[in-house]
Amino acid sequence: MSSAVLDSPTQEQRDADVEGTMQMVSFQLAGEEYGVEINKVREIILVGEITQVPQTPPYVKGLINLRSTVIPVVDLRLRFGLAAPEATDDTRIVVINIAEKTIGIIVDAVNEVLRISQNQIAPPPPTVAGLGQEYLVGLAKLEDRLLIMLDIEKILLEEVEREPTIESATAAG
Amino acid sequence: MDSNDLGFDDDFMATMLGDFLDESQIYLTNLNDNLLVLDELVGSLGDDETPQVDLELLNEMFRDAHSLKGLSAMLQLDDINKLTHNVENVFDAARDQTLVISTDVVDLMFKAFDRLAGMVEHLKDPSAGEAEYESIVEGIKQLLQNAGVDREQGSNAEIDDVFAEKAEKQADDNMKTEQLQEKQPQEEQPEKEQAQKEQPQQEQADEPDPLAGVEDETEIPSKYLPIFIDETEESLDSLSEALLMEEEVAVDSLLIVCHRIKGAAASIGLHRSAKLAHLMEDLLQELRDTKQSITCEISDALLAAVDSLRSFVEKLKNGERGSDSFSQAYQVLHSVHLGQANSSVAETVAPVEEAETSGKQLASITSEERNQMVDVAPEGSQALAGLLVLEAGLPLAEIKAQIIFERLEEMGDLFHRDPEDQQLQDSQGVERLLFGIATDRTIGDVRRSLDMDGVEKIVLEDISSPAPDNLEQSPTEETVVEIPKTAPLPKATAPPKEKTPPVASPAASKKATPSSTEAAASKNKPTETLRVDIERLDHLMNLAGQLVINKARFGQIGENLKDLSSRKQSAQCLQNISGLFNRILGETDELVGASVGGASIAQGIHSHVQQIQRDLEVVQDDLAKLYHARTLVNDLFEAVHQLDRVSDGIQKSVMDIRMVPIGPLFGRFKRVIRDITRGNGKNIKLVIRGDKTELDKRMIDELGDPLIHMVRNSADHGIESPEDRLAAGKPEQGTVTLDAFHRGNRIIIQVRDDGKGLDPEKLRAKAVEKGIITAADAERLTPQQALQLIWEPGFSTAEKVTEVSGRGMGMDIVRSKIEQISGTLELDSQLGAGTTITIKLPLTMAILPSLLTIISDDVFAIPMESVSEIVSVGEKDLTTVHGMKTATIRGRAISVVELNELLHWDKGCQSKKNSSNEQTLVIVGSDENELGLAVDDLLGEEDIVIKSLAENYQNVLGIAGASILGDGRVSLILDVAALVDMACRKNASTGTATTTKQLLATEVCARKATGRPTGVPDLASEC
Repeated sequence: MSSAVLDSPTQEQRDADVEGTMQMVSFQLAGEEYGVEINKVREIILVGEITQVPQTPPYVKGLINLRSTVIPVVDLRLRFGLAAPEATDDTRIVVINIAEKTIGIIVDAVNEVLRISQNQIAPPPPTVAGLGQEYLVGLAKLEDRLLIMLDIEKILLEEVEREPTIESATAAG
Repeated sequence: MDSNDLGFDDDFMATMLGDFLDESQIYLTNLNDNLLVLDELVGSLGDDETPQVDLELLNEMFRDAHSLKGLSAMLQLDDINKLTHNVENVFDAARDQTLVISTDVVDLMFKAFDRLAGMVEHLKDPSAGEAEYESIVEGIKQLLQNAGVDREQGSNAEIDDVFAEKAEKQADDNMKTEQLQEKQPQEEQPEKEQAQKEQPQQEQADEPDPLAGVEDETEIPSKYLPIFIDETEESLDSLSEALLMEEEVAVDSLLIVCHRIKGAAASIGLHRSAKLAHLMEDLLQELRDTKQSITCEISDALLAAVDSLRSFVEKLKNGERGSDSFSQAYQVLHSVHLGQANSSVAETVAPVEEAETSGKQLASITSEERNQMVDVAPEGSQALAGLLVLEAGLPLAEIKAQIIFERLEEMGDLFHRDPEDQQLQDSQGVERLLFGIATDRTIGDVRRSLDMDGVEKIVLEDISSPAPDNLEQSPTEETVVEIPKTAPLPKATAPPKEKTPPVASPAASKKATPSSTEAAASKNKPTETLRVDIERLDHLMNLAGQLVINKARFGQIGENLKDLSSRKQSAQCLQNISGLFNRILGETDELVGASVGGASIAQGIHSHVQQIQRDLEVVQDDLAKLYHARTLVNDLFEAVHQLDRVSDGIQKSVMDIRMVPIGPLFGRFKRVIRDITRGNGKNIKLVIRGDKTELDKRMIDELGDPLIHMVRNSADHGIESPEDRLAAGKPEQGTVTLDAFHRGNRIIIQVRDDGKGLDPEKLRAKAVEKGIITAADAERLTPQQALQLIWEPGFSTAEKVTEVSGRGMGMDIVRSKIEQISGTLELDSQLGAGTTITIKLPLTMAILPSLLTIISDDVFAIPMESVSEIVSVGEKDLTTVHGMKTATIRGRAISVVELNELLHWDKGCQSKKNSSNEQTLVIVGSDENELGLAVDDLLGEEDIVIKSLAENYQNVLGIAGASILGDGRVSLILDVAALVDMACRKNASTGTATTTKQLLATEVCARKATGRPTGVPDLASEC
């Protein structure tokens, strides 16, 4: 999947004008900058009240009400095995649409929309913040910094499909 | 759809196919029912007897097959057409008494029916695999040949030829063969019809009225009449709409609609209507063959025919049968036909002028902008102009704007956008997003997907230039079509309509007919029906659900407002204050008089106090206003109350719309039982009760599979062979009963058999053998508990897997399917006497009356249907049995469960203990398995809207779903059945090795507790 995203045919349909480029929404997480394809982002909202759900891994923060739809929210920091974040004014939930599901991810801040061409993309590093290579699409070299391109589908769906284990749910206690 | 060679666009075909699937289902069900009746009839006779089959029955079956054939021909579903044609022939032969209905014939028909159902299923879901039908066709031919039905063979051969050709002439040929078929019941008309068909051009003005000899059948089956009316009105609407489009209409699409009308009319014996439609078809056919377009005269003539058909249908709807104006309509058609043949110049209808938008609809898209977009809008598809206004000063507005444009691009061809991508990147504070998009989605659809956080306003307009080949293309509300004066067409405003046509039309058609006002007091008026896309209903249901949520929210706001105003006290305070001030004033007056030195100070104080007093008066006024506000709050409550009633009403009506009787679903099982009895030599009777009971359509859909499995189990494994039954002193014939009824707020469905019942001992042994439970555990189970083992995954009671049951879907799947629709299952079985499976379902899947409770600071909803009582217990009523906290309530021992423990859920905050040591328990579960759920507080009962967790996440054990409360928060709905289950399992495992901390902890507590003389556990010391 991850490699297919790069040279995916959907890109051609959507960006007929600029061949081989993709648009990414970039966001901040624990000092790193990550990117998610724009067509997977449904919207960006403020963090409101989150209802916790039992029997779920700790990184599933709970459920929120997105205009009368109930969607789960995943804390990407916890998912990446980083320390739990302190919410700030910049903290946002990026609502992602994948595989007919809508899932929110908590990020430290949303930066901008970037246009990235193929030749800017390098193969992904072996790991990022404890996250394996299989969750990364690549590394985009920007002028002054690096953007980690996430395979958000894999990160979230793998989570969705996995049975919650009692151990992980009780580990905190 | 592999044979879409008529040149329609996919949308149109998809709609047609949807209609076909819908209708064919009705016919197939009828066929199946009647076949079963026939089967019974034939089966009850000896071999050498000739059954006296009810002619009406055969007629009905013939009609169903015929309708199916007509429909399939229209859509060029060759396979189905061929098969139905043969089936039709059999029934035709049978009603002519040239063919004797025997068991073989019925069996063959059943086989044919199965294939047909398979083919239709294949259309619905291409992955279902295609059914082979040639052998059946051969079988039927053989059958007919043996019976000496030569005439049928002839027409068979003909239709075979037709299919061999399979050129563009096909539609025409199909009609011809169909025409032959139609003639059979109506022998008096063949020559004239044929003549009319073959040489319409040569005929001169003295040509006799072809309708003269055609008579409708006197008896019209009343159950098909509403369907006919409905369908035909729809067809007529689309016809007139297409004709009024004032542009080049595709002749093909008109042809199909006419054909549809003809088929529908002929199938219920309205031969005059069929004939007129047929004539219209001829005219169109000719146009098509000569590649001419529709002139004004032709469309006038066609419209006249449409009108006469419409008034006829209108009369039918009012329960009248009577004269029609078909002859006149025909004359017009005919003269046009002649004129058409003579003049080779085809006058094309002037293309419609660019739709001019009316001033009042300008909204915020300026006409300049619109024109600009209209210019670049691609032809041939729906084009929308849109404007999004973002909230002023919205953070991250540029990013959000880019996401919105991205979304639009996914929906279709975004041919215009403002600001451009590049501008967006550099700009700040975007507020106005303008776009033009060519998409096949409906406006509502687009609007829904654009509705997101930060969007203040959405304006969408349809700016499509009317496209050819598309019947559905009609101007929407936002545009008004000006009819060019050059076209002498009847002026009519096309009905406002969204893209999917089958819905909102009958209302429009009613107005179009002048005769509709008369004869309202007719007696046998058929009920009007309306076919509605189920997705629309779902959407409506969703909206009704949101209304319920908002209603709750209003209630809460009012409640909060009420708390705010405590006027009495403040009024009193004010009075006190002014009293005090008066005293101060008096005192300062004295001071002024008493001391000369302090006089000026005292005067100063005096004036200050006076100032304060004046200020206070202002406050007092405001307070008075606040008091008024309080009466307003009462008004608000009244309004909310009203809203309450209205939203309840809406909710109920929407729910009612979705309710359909369970009868047809039950009916399917007649066939299942028949097949099983044929297969295993058992003698089984199926009894159906409560088939009028209504259920949510979605539930009916979901119930099919599990019920089939249960019925098969009953018939295959439950009922014994006749010998065994006789030996056991039972009647030879076994009975399987399907029953549906209401009980309280629930619907109960039961599958009962009077077979051998389940043997708890066998079940235990089996479960141990399969490794589902240990031998020790098995022994501890009560017989009732042992029965429940069949729901375990991997458990099947069948000793050998037969062809019928044991086909993979275990009882555990049955159970999970039922639970998916919020149902519960109960199994009861008496060894030797039979088994009963009871399914309890909520009335609707969408709205759930629930008890809202607070457990550890979170709101949890417990479905009312599983709450049996709410009690408050003191410490003395709590004991520990086998490490489980147990409450004794009126002599019953009930396990007490802390939700956090049960779900192994540590949220970091300790569940607070009531200072009074009183514990509120909500007793949940069924009689067999009761559980006391410890809650901290009760909020009351409320109707909540269930939102599935799996929709966006996954199912969580113990949680049935989520719901949105009045204040917008999300609350979880407890899955009581699963909780009881978990508690039982936990209970069972406390004796053996425990794996989790909590369980160990409870054990420790238990040991501690048992050490005490009183045997009362210390709640506070809970680990």
